[in-house]
Parts: sequence; structure tokens; C-alpha cells
Amino acid sequence: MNHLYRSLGCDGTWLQRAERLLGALLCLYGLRWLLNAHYFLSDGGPLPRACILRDVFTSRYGLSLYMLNGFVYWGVFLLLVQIGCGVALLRQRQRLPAIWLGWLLVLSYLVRAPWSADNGAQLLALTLLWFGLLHPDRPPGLQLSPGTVALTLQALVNVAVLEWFVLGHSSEFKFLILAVLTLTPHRWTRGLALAGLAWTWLSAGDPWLSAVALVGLLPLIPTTASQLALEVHWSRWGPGMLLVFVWISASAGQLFGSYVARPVQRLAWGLGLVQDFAAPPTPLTFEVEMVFSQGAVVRWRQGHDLASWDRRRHLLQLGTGSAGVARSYYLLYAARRRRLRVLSLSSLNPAGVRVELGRWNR
Amino acid sequence: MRRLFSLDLRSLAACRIATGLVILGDLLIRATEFRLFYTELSILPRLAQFEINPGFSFPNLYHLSDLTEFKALLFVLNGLLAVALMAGYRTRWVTVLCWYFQHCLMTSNYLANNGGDAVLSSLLFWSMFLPWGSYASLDSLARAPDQARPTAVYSAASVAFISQILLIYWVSVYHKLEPTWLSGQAVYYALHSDLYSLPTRSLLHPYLDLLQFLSCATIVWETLGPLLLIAPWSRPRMLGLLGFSLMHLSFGFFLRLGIFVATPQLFFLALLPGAFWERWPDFPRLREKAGQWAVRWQAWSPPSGQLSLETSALLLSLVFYSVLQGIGNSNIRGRQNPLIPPYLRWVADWTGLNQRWAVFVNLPTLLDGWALVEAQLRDGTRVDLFQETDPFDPAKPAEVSRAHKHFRWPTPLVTIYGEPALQGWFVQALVWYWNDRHPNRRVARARFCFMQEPTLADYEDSPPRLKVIRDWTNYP
Repeated sequence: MNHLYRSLGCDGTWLQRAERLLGALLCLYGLRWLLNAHYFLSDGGPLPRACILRDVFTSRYGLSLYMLNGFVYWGVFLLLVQIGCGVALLRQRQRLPAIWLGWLLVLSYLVRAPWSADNGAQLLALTLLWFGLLHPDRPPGLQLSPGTVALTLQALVNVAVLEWFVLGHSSEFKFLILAVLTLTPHRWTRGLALAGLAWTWLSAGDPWLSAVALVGLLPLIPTTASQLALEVHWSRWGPGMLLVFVWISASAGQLFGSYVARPVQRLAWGLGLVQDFAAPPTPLTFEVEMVFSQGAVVRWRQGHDLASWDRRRHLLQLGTGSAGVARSYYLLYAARRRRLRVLSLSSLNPAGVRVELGRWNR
Repeated sequence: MRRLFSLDLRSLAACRIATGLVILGDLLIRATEFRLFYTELSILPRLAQFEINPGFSFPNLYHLSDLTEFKALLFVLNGLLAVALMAGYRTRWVTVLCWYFQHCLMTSNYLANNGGDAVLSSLLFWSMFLPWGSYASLDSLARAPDQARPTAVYSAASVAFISQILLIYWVSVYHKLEPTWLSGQAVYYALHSDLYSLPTRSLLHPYLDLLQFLSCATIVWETLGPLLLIAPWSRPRMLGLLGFSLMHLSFGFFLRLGIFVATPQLFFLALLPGAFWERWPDFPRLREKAGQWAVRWQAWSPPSGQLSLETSALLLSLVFYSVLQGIGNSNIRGRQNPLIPPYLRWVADWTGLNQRWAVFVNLPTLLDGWALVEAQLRDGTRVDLFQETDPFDPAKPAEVSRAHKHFRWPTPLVTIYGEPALQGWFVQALVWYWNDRHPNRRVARARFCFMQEPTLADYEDSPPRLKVIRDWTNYP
């Protein structure tokens, strides 16, 4: 039993370091999402709240503070709060409130703008949730709590989801070896397994996801101190393990079929516990064309900067023939250009073939 | 002024306890229609609200998620807050939370609101600034015994609180200055409204002269009676309170108005004069024991009733705003209040001080008749999804107002009838509800109809006329 406890425990010193890095990631995500706040977080933009609720089934159940108000200022305010939480974690001030609020805010963003938030944001929300279940103080030495159990299992589930869903490999053997080695309490064996996991992430091709996953691996690093003493924190065992159970059921549902998770599915959606990694967007270019009443035509392409990357990602999720998005663009631009008559949205694939996604006439 | 606008703290305590009870009772009654009013499968889900009214900016807790469990949790929390309010535990903060939860509940489905909800919401709003936890509360028991206990409060909040009840009646009278009321036919029309009236109306129906007298008496009483409510002498004030209390109880005797009968009584409790409490026995030993118990729970003393100059100015501005709201608002849906500048309209949305007291006016235009949602099932039979009659029967129910189990239904029906954007949601919610309970008898087609039977000016009934409002087909 002691061996199992040690396998699922995490080192306090590394937990503290990982927490600081999570704070940095919270800030970076907040800044990145600020670039597109008017686009994704405003009812006046192409993605009003009603559109999200109508088209994204799971967003109906997710908790989202962004749903409280449709003004962009509210969205900007919440993002600033998120950055504030990140700073608090970096400086190790008010850690527990910062972690829980940070988790709620990232979860809120995932619900409000599901097509722009990436796999990394999803993992960031989960990791923050597990950090919320840790012991409030971070004493040095090995500690065991629902949070450490979840963090250990999370590392394995991440790799499984990455292998099967994102990279498309189906190497069960490699995964099993990594899992067994990671759960081994021996220092060098576990270190080797972690190096393997880290290598998998570094070669995943998604820098944001890799960054969050690598931060999640940090607490698993075994140290000499961790071999000496084991501190078990049972205080939040009940609700903590319930959350872990819901997450494991939902993850099992993703891996082995949704019937596994059915009893807890809605709760899992509500708390963002469904790990649904998708492949990063293919490099399509989107083109917007506007025709004005005097016959003038304006056409431009989405750029290739970071903000545009999120928008292209969102447009990709819509598929072809979606007149709704063209209408949304129309509403966004018509407010500023009164003589706008027609707006069309097209995608250009790498071969230069243009496909019209939607057209809207006044 | 001080004598006119002072409130006795013991009366306020009674009002607080009764308010907690009313909130609790209301939640239990609302819970009976939880699915059709508050879930994602309701007649007005969150999605419909965002589509129909995207500019509404009040941050509503019920908009956080469509998870039914989450909304049920909010109901439970609201109930716990009501209990805390009754007990007087951390009264000021609990009052703030009670008001917020009440406002969230009301805006989460504005269709299901009744005039009584607006009365309750405004009462809770002004009470946030009143020391209504000074007596009969855990807060007061935990206070050191040597601390002086004032018996009355006079502040901008008490002025606002009393102004609110005056505003309700005077604004109501202002809107009643229209032909139906002035000709003395209003009470007849109100009693004839099938959606609201109870069978007891037959007690008054034959006496047309009495009905005419009651119409005029209502206007006179609502104009002059409020002056008695603020009388500085206890007897006239008690007379006024008794008169208004009986008036609302009689409304409830003849009409199915639900919470609208109970919530004005809360204001009357708060207005009870201090002399009323002088006759009540004091139980010092019991209070001492309860105090020891309360101290164990918390070390808290209620905040005083004194308000800062800024807060007082804000409250008095809100009273002025409320007056403009009351006069400018009409019961014509979609018409904006011309007295309130557009950049200040959010204040009413955020505070709940909408002051729409134009109830039972322009009665000949009030929707009269009964609703039918005729559904054809896949097995070929026909049922009514709204009245739940199986097989379908379009005949007039014996009691139209009892044909639906909840007193809140008439208001949504009247609104849905006039707004095509809401009709699809309404029929769809009823279809889903039926399908969930009868998986082997699913609905194939449904149509929302209204059997109109308007009351004519000469005290005659018009023949019922079927109006088809919305067709719904479940495409396989």
C-alpha cells in the first residue's frame, strides 16, 4: 500500500514551481484571448451567446461567467481578472482563491468560445482544478491527496488522448510501458518514464498544449526528499475523489465510447471534465468579401498572426455552407459600414481553390 | 416628516420573518413547474432569452449554465437564504443575497412573473438599507445586553420604503383613469376574465350596481387610503392597514392572483405602528437563553439604520427614478418609457424597480378565453398538452383559471399569445414534456390555439371563436 501511495504522491517543492508556471500560463492565455475579445466575447460580434448555445451542444451545460453579459467590456474585465489570478499565482499570493477563480475563468472561456480555445486551454482548466484539490500549504516532501492522484492520472490520460486522438497512433504497448513506469515509485525508473512522456509532448506539434502538459508533469518529478517522508492529506478526500471519478468516467467515455460516462456526462460537461482533444487546424486561408451599394468591392484575407490563428480555427469548425457565420460577419461589419449590401465568406485551401462558406445580403 | 416616514423596528422584524416565509413558500410553489419554467426545456430557455432580448445586461446566475442540477442548486440556496432571513442571521448580507436571488429568478423567466413578484423584489431592494434585523433575530440576540435598542428608524431608506407602497397605489390609480374604470365596469370585466377569475365570482356577478360601486370605491380608496398608511396616529394607520389588507384578500378570494395577494401584506406588516407592539408580552428569560445560544453561533451585531449622505442621496434619486418609471410605464408591451432617458433604462433592469403597476387596466383588451394545445399523437389519438385532457376536448373547462395547475400561467399565456417569437418555444416545451412522460405515445403534430370569448361592454358574453396561433410538426 505504501508503494501505491508513493506512486500517486507528488513532491511539494515541484508542486510550488508548477503552480508558478501555471500562473504564467494563465497570464499568457489571458493576453492571447484579449486580442480577440471583441470577436469571441461580444454579442455584437460574429459569435453571440445565442449562437454558441444553439450550435454547441455541450456549451449549454458548461458553467460560464461570460454568459452573464453580452458586452465586450464584461469579457475584457473577466480576462483581466484571469491575468490577475495568474499574477497572484506567480507571486504565490492568495493561492487557493486564485487557483479556483482561474479554473472557473478558463472553464468559462472554453464554454463561451469553444471553437477558439485550444486543447491547451482545456488541459489548463483541468490542471488548475487538480491544483485546487491539493493541500492549501505546499510543505516540502512527498504528499498524497486527491489532487496528486488526479495529477498523476492526468499525465497518463493526456498521453493516451494525445496518442489516439491527436497524433492518430495506436501504440497501446508504448502507452502501457509508460504508464507502468510512471507509477513505479523508484526514482530513476519514474524519471525515465517522465522523460519519455516529456519527449512525447515536445514532439506533439502544439506548443500551447505541450507547455501545459509539461507543467503538469513537473509535480511528478521524484526527488530525494520525496523518498523520505510521505504526508497524506485526507481533508478533501470525499469531494475531491468524486471529481476525479467524474473526470475518469468522462475520459473513459471519450476513449471507449460515450456509454461509459453516460450517468455523469452532463455533470462532466458542466465542470469541463470531458477531455476532448482535437487536431490543430489545417492551414486554410479565409477570405471576406464585401460589396457596397455603389458597386465597390472590398476583399481581404485573414492574416497569419496569433489572433487570426484563433479566428481561423473557429471558422474551420463551422464547416461549409454555413450562412450563419457570414450573417454574423455581416452584422459585425454592417454596423460600421451602412452601405454594405453583400458579405461573403470563403475559404482558400493550400492549392488555392476557393470555396464559399456563406453569403449574406442585406 | 420624521413621524410620517418612520418605521417601527419590531414591525420591520415581523415583515422580515414573513418575507422569508413568503420566499420559501413561493419557491416551493415555483418548484412544481420547475421544468416548464426554469430548465433548458422550459417555455423560455436561456437560448430564447439571448435571441429575443440580447441587450439585457443584468448578470443573472441562472444564465451561468443550463445544467438542471445547477438550477436546482440555486433554488436550494435561495431557500436556505430565506431561512437565514427569517432567523435574522447576518441579516444585511442575507437580505442583499435574497434580493439578488429573487431578481435572478424573476429575470430567468420573465414570462412567469406576477405583480406580486415585483412587489417582493422592490421590498427586498429597499430593505437592504434598513436595519430590519434589529429585533427577533440572531443578530440582535448576539448583541451585548447593555447596548441601547432603538425602536424606530427614520432614514432615506425608510422614506424610500414607504414611498414604494404609496407609489404602487397612486401609480395604479393614475393608470386607472381610463374609460373602463371611470364608467364603473372594471370590476365586472375583471371578474369576467376567465384566465384569472375563480368560481366565487358568481357571488358578485348578479349585482351589477354593487360591481359599479366597487369599481368607483377602488379608485377612491387607492387614492385616499395611502394617506392613512402614513398617518402619524396609530388608530387611523391601523384602519388603513386593515382596509388595504382586506382589499388584497378580497382580490384573492375572487381572482386567482397567487403571490400578489401575499406580498403587499408584507409592506403592511412593516407599517404597523409601534403602539401595536406595546401590548405584546416580553420574555426576558427566553431572550437571555436564546442570546447565549446565538452568541455561540456568531459574534455579530446588526448595523445601525444610519446611512451616509451619499447613500441617502442615491436612495432618494432612486425614489425619483421610480416615480418616473411608474408614471411613464404602460402595460403596452414593447413601448418604451418616454420619461426615462435611454442611457438610464438599465437602472430598472438592474435594480428590479420597474414599477409596472398598470394592472387590470384597459380591461376590454385583456385576453379572455382559454388556451388549447391540441396534439395529434403518432398512434392517431388527440390530446390537449396544456390542460392535459385525454382525449382532446375543446369545450370550455368548468373553471378556466384552474385548468392549469400553477397560478403563474395566465401571464405567460397572454404574452406568448402576442409574441410570435415565443410561441414555438412554448409548444415545443409542452411537446417535450409530454414525450418524456409518455415515451410510447409521442406527439406527431401540435397546434397552439386560443378559444377567444371576449367580454362585451354591455355585460354580455360573445360566442367563443377559435384562433389558431401556431402549428408545430415533429419531423422524424
